[in-house]
Amino acid sequence: MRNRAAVTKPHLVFALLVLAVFVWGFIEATGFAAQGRELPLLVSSVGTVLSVLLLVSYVRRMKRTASADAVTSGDVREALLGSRLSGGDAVADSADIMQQVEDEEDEEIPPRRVAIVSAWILGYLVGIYVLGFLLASTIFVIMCLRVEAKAGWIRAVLSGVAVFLFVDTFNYLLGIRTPESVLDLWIF
Amino acid sequence: LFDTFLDSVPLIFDPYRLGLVVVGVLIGTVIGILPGLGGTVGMAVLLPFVFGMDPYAGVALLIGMKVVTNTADTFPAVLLGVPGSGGVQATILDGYPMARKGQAGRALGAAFTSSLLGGLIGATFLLALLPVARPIVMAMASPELFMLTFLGLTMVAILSQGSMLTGLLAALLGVMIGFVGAAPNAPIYRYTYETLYLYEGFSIVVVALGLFAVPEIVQLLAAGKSISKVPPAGLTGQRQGMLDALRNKWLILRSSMIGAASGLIPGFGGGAADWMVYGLAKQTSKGGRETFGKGDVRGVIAPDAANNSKDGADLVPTLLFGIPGGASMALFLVGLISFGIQPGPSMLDPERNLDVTYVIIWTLAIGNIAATAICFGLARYVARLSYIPPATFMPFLIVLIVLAAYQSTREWGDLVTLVLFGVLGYVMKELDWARVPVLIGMVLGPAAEGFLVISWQQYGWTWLARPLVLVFAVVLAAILLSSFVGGRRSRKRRTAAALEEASR
Repeated sequence: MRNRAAVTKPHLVFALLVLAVFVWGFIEATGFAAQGRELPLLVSSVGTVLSVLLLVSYVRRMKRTASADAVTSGDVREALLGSRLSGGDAVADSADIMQQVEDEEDEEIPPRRVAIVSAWILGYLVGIYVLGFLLASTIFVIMCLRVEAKAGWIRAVLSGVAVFLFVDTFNYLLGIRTPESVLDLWIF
Repeated sequence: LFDTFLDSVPLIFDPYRLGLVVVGVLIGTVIGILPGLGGTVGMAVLLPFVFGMDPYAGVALLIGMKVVTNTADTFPAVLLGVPGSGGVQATILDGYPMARKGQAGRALGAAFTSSLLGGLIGATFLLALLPVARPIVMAMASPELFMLTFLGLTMVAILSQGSMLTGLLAALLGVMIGFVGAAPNAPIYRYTYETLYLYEGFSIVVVALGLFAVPEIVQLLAAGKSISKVPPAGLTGQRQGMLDALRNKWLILRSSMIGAASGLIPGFGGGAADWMVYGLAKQTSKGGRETFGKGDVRGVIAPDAANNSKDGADLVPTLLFGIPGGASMALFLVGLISFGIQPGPSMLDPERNLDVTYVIIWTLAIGNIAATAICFGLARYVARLSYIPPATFMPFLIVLIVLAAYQSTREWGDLVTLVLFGVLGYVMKELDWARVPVLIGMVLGPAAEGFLVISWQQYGWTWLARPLVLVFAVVLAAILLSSFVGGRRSRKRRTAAALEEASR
């Protein structure tokens, strides 16, 4: 698991983005008519100040972490040196620590998996745009169950058909609308 | 009044009308369980069917459906961390962590019991308040409403004590997001860039789905692990949850009263009340500062009680003034008018429509009991979702969420918004930024702006000296002060515990 208190580069980048949003919000608000600009101006300026404060605190914490890391790595070197000299306990302790770190790292979600899942969702949305909601949902469920859940073809296809019927029934009974697709426009 | 109250009993206990309550409750349960569909969708769906019915039957169907949506939407909130509707967002904060700890059954049991009690308290509140409601509602002008919304905004300070600065920034971001669209008191559009979709602003349901549901789905699917991290022992915890709720009866009473009071004020919105009671529960519950947000059952009990109790009070402005408290009440108003009932003083007149008013109150009570019974019956089966590998049911959930998001304005912009806020929610989650303040800011910011501008235009500086404004200001100061002092004490305790741990 990550060290939650640690400030990383993504923290810094996100804080910069937040600052950019408030600055942009302020600049835009200056062009609004009276009675519609007071609060946006106030909120964006307070947001800008707080974002700057956050950035400063992030940079300070990063510096502190860097210097603390240097001290810690010195300690580790000393500990390893000690273990070489005296043998035994220190080596056992560091092995335990390494194991613990490895276990904790195992809990991290690989970015590749996150990218794959995001691609599934985006692919589904593109499918809706091209094929329409009903067809894209059916195909998405079948393929996702086959690939991600390793389900058999029969189960996957039955699930896809169930989704088709469910959406179609709700569409009919509740008047739920689904997005128009390129295929809809082409056919009708 | 009492005679009319007794006379209304056979009207609602007529088998046909009682059957319609049950039909309404069943439809409401399905709508509540499906993320993104709430009471408004239910009202819109049922409205065409009630034309031509007698008023008592039509009211039974509509109110029966409405009361259960606020109970059933706890399922996706607790089991999947997905806000089924706008009113259940605070429940996620502790309900979902409970499900992850294998206590889904307990969380659901507590939620349903507090929903039932909250609903019954709300109905009683409506019954007791009807004769005296008019002067209370009239006493709430824009300055008081501004103070109330500001009170809701201060909950950010309580809900983000881990990092106050990022919490405040998240809330301000939410307020900025809320500014998108038409200004409340000026004929201008802000931050819309001539994009038609943005003219009405972002939908709170789509933003909530993006911020909470999308990151959770991506993480669960990517990790490939079930929602609950422990074996399925938690399915049996419903009774425990029920007992938890009964043990916290004062918390339920207080939360229900706040919920009911908020429902009384047209346009104030129940979402604000949920956050308010959650913040207060965290503030005042023993050890709440340390345990809330990590799976404390009291964090489920408080917002659920408030969420259901406001249904009763929501009806006061609708029935007495014809001012709907929200979109679903506006549709209910259409239903009433279609029955030939004109909301107003006639709703309290024993010679005219008082019996309809009492039928509504009875339906609220019966609907809540039926809803709780159905949800308790379903919980055991629905709770199994938290133990199934996510890849086997997440595809269905993704379909539902996309469908639900699209119902907001029925434009592609809804889906784009869903993805954009999904990315934002994922990044915020990864970087440990609280996402709740974004929603609070989005809901309350523009409302506060509207009330402030009207207060200023009508009263100038003098609005600050109004008696109720001063009372709210004192309450506000007390909350902030106790939050600050409590936060310092909490930090000291944590430091002392850490030092003690290190010295061992």
